[in-house]
Order: sequence, then structure tokens, then C-alpha cells
Amino acid sequence: MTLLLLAKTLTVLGVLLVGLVPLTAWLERRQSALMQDRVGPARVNVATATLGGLLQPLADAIARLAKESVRPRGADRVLHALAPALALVPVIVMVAVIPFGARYTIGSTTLSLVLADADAGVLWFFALSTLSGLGFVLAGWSSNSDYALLGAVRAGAQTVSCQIAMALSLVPMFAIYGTLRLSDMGLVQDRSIGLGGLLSNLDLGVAAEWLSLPAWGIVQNPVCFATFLLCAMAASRQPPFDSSSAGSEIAGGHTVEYSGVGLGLFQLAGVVQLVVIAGIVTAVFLGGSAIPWLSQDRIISAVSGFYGEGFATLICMGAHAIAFLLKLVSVIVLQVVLRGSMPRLRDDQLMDWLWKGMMPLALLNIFATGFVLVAVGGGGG
Amino acid sequence: MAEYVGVLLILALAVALTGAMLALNLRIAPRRDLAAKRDPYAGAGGVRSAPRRRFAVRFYVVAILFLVFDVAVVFLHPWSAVLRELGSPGLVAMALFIAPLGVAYVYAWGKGALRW
Repeated sequence: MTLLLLAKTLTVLGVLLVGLVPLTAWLERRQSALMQDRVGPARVNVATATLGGLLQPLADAIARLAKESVRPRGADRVLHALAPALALVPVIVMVAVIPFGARYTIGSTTLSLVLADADAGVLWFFALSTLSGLGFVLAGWSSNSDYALLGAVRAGAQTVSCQIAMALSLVPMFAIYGTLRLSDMGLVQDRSIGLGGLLSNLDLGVAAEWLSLPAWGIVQNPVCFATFLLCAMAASRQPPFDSSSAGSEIAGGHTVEYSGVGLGLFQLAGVVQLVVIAGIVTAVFLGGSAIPWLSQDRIISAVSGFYGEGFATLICMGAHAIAFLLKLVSVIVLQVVLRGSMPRLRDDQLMDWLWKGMMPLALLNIFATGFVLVAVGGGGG
Repeated sequence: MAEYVGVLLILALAVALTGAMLALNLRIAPRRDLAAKRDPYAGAGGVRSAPRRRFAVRFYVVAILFLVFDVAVVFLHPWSAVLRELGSPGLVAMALFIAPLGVAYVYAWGKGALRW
């Protein structure tokens, strides 16, 4: 049991650090370059093969590790050194609650593709994202620099404001699913909603079964999807919500006094955050690991005719993991599209948008969804 | 509590990994100390001021508002998970609970606490 858990942990960390992080860092640079009509990373190569810039993240990592970390005069020695670690460690720990698959039973053992199947999975995400935000605040505070201090207080205000909007924005989904456990949300979404209405009067035969929508969160409550994705992006201070580190305004803000490995850890934290947000959005809104119109029972019963049930379950597990990763990467692409297509919000615009826009909207959505749920007494939102 | 063992495990590995990166940097990065290099960045003009100065009070106001609203949000989470079982009495109860908060929100807005 312990050995299995250790193997799972190492697999998840491996998938994250060797697979998703370089891929995301590359997407961030290459896709932004395409959107801005630039070439993007094109120098780093192995025997003249640049692989479209795919080697750039590796080169960047080596450069950060090998460069001097300068501490400015008057900076708090301990806090300045610890802040990057405080920013990075919580975002890595967040990965523990992301369900990369559903729950499977082979013989007498039950397997799940999630490291910590916590009943308060989403709360972990909220708590740890605030903790990571504190790392950024401390970084700016401890640097003894004007720009860094400005970045720190902006990041602090943004972190706490986003926390409320983000926590409110997901409540309708908890009400619809009746759970806070991320893996259970995946199971609930692994079915289809009939379109009903006129269609049910037509004699469609077999086709009727396919004329349905997957019961994904984004189908049941699209407003919730939009508010949560935007609030989560704002909470992770990525563009266009990056007034706390605005390069062209306050020269990098909270991280202006960081170089070498400290800067590298902050950048790594930013990339992991993108992955984690994509993971949570996939689990809550895009059906988790579910494949549309092909529920887990259906896949297993179809395949077990040929290979037996144990092997069919394994095939289903693999298909689910691939489906989850594909959805996750597409949410990362969506985030890069959003950050590439909107101008940066000024810090006062950002606070206005959060307090007067997102928060009332999220609260309204809670009671509208709650009303529909109670009135219908089950069914979709 | 067994499900949290995975969290502890990944926490230990994340700390070890971060520590390893910091240690590796200490080991292989060059260290050439120059007085100018340790100056905090102060823009192209190089005008320095005292960074540990006072800053706008609005940041404190946001912190206070956060405390007020976040505590209420915490109550919404367990409520939402069982809303289906609670039915309409649950919905009305939560609306009554949130209503004073709505008053506080309107008051804060009217007082200009949300204006930046």
C-alpha cells in the first residue's frame, strides 16, 4: 500500500515536472509568439534541430540554476531566500488532489488515479493558492526596493480579493454535484443529459442515444465556468491580471530583485499554477477523465468481451488518463489565448472588476442555481 | 485521514526538490560581489528612496473587507454540498444569512471602500 502510494507520487511528479511543465512553458512562449506574429524561441538546438523551440525550457532551467543569486543591500536575509520556496512548494502540493482518472475495480483491489482523494479536495486548492500568493508578497516585502514593495502590496490585495471571488464562483458546482471531492465530480459527470423537448417526440431510434450532451459542468453551468476560470487566472497573477509584476510599469514588481535560482523558482511556480488551474477546471467543468458518450461501464463492457474484465479496466484507465491530459492541455492553451488577447488591467481596474463584477455575479449565480436545484428537485442546473 | 498521506508525501518531495535546486545553485553559480550590483533597482534614473515607507490605506481596507466576507464564504461550502437534501428551507436560511452581508457590501460600496 505504502509502496503503491510512493510509486503514484513519483509518477505524478514525473508527469508534472518532466512532461507538463516543459510543455506548458513551451506553449506559453511558442503560442504567444504565434499570436503576436513573432518567431518565438528559435536558437536553442541539438545538432541544428530546434524542435520548434521545445528545448528552450530546458536551457532556461539550466541557465537559472547556474546563475548568481544576488541579494540586494538591506534585504531581509531569511525571508528573501525563503520566499521563492514558499511560492513554489504549495503549488506542487496542489497537484496531489487532481484526479487524473476515475475509480477502477480490478478483482478485489480498488485503484484511483488521484494521489490524495480528499473529501475537501477543492478547499485544498483554495488554501494552497493563497499560501503560494504569500510567497510572492513576502518576496516583494523583503527585497528592500520601491518597485518590489509596490508589487507586494498589490499582490497581497489581489490574492485576498481573488480568494473570495474564486471560492464563491465554485459554490454552484458543489451544489449541483452534491460533493466537494474532485474524483466524485468526475463520476457524476460521466453520463449524458438528454436534450428532451421536441426531440423526444421524434422517432430517432439508435441515434437518440447519441443526440445528448455530456453532463459536464460547463454544460450545466457555463457562467460558473467563466467566472471560476477568470478568477483562478487572476489569483495566479498571470496576464492580464499581472499588475503586481507589470514589466512595463513597475519593472517586474515583487520579483524585480530576484535573479538566478530564486527567479527560476518563481517562474516554475507560475507554470505549475497554469497546469493546476487547468487540472481543476478539467475535473470540475470538463468531465474530469470521462469520455463523452462513452461511460466507464460502457467501455469496460465493450472491451471485456474480447480481453476479459481485468484487462478491459486497464484499457479504460489508460483511455481516461489520456482523455484527462488532452483536456488539461487544451485548458492551458485556452489560458494562453486569454492572456495573449487581453490588455493588462490596471490595479484599480482589477480590484473594481473583482469586488464589483465577479463577486456579485458569483453570489447571484449561487442563489440562481440553488433556486433552480430546489425547484426542479434534482436534474441539471 | 489516510487520504492525506499522499499530500504529506508530495509535500516532502516538493520541499526536497526545492531545497536541492537552491543548494545546487549555491554550489555551481559564480559569486562576484560588486557594490553596485547590490543596489536595489530604482529605475533608469537610479533615484533611491526609503522602500520601507508607508503605503496607501486602501490596502488595509481590502484586508479588513476580506476578513468580513471570507468567513461567510466558508459557511457556503458545506451548505452547498447538502443543498439538495436541505431543499427550499436550506435555501431560504442561507439567503437570510447572506442578507446582512449584502447590507454590509452596499454600505462599504456607498462609503467608497471599494473605490480605488
